[in-house]
Amino acid sequence: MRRRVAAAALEIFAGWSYREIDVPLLDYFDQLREVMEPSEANRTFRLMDRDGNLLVLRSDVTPAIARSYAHQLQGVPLPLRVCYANKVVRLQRAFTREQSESYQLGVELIGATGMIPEVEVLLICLEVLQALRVPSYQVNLGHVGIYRRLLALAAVPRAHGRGLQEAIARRDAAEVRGIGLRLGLREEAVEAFAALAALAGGERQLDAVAAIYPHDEILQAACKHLRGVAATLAALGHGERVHLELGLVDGPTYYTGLSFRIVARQSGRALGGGGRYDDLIGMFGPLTAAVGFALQLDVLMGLLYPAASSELSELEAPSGAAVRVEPQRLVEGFAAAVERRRRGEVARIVARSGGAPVRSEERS
Amino acid sequence: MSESNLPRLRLALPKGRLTERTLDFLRGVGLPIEAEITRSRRLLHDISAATVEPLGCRLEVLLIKNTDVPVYVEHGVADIGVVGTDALYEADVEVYRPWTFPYGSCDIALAAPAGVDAGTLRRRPWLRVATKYKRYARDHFAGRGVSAEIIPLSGSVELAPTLGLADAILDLVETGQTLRENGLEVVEVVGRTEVKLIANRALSTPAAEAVERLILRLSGAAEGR
Repeated sequence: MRRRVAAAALEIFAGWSYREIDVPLLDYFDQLREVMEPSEANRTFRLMDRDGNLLVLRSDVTPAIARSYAHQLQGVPLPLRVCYANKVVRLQRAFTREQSESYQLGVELIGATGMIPEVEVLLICLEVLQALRVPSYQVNLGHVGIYRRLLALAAVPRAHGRGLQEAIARRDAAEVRGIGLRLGLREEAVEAFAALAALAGGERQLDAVAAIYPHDEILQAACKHLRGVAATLAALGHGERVHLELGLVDGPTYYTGLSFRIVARQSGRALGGGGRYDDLIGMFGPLTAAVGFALQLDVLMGLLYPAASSELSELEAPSGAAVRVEPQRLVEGFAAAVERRRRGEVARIVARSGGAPVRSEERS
Repeated sequence: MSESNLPRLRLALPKGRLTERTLDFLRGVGLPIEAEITRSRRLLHDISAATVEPLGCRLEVLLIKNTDVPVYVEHGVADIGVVGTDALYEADVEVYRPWTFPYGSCDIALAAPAGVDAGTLRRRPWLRVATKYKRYARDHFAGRGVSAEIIPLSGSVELAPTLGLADAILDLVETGQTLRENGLEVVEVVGRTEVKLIANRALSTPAAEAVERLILRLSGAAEGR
């Protein structure tokens, strides 16, 4: 099932002209640590190579692709469209040490700025979710630039940004106000951050934030940009599934603009997420704009499982497929099976010892 | 809008010290919840009659163990819940926590047999601490560079020092009565727990708006106190 889901996603990616690429499983920790949050770094698996270098097992595909683009794919014509279904290894929860090997399915669109590539990857993402018939999913759409601009406008000291970010990510407006008071922020700044922490996002939230600094061009541009992406998706029939959510400030640190996260009611963990990362490739090579997303296959499988198990029966070989092979007549038996395969038919080998079929085989 | 079109929410309430208090508080903000809920042994109650009018949503209440509330909400079995930050920290879940209740807050303290002070504890080469809050304890001691053995218990933690199972305990302290009766004293207050309204991260817009209406009512009542 897992492979069928991955294959369905890759087919859709290919349908949007994305080429599959592979990235290394092992990487040097020193190089990736700079683009990782400490909490994210804590969830990685690290090991030593024979020379004593610290290696890390791939926990996120995007930085690996950024790196391979910066080092190997230089000179290819832009924009570059790549996709992948790759294994990642990370601890899900640092405390319980719950460990997880999973697949990330995703695309990266490298070398394109503006709204168009963002709408493109969002449409691909929505098509995959739709095609897989994921129940009750929702794409929360935010813009890291809005939060970062508010931080700059309020002159929040870098060291205190973390607590504020956590409180917003938890939608804890009281805590946000408390932190604002302790830092001695101006009232309008506190209100702006509290607005980010509102539980129900939507146009209303965007209006509220935009109205606090009506003359700040950077903030207004970011708001307008986000509004434009949401309106385009709504006009294309995705209004029900796409929600504005400015409290989305806790994604990977490498995001620089639009960001989104796919959630579903029945799943505690996010199904996936994406966003614009214009600085990440620049950390390894020449500055190049990019946008992408990834879905977590294990979370998807958890949601799809009830539906998937009923589809499993379709996969079982049809009843006429059994080909009996006896130890005394191996060649004839297998020849019949090979002949069926040559005709493009399904074959299922049933081994017979002497006359009677083997019990366990029969049961399967 | 007809009643069947209204968003339907499920609220997880912790069984125990917070149940009555929370229900009373909800009644106080204009949700006439029947007393039946805590009298019967049923664990799932439809209280839509009390919420359709003031909140514009239907509501089911489920009563579960407090440490399970975060898990139910994270997995979307319940949309919202009421739980202390102590249990929330232990569960390590990803949920929203949009509101803080004005009651149920208490200290998290390190306590030891009477006469033992912080200095004595700190000088121990190997400190044994019994607690129900092992994640909190581990992070607290790790943050201070104290090597401590965390002894996880699920109740009657106060017994541990008396019986020699641990040198100290880390627990919630409300009045300090239980501590005194077991010959223990607070050595140091290390944190504080609050009661939070928590919410699943994938609420639909109508559901999230209903929760916001609830919060508005709760805040109004809290300020009027």
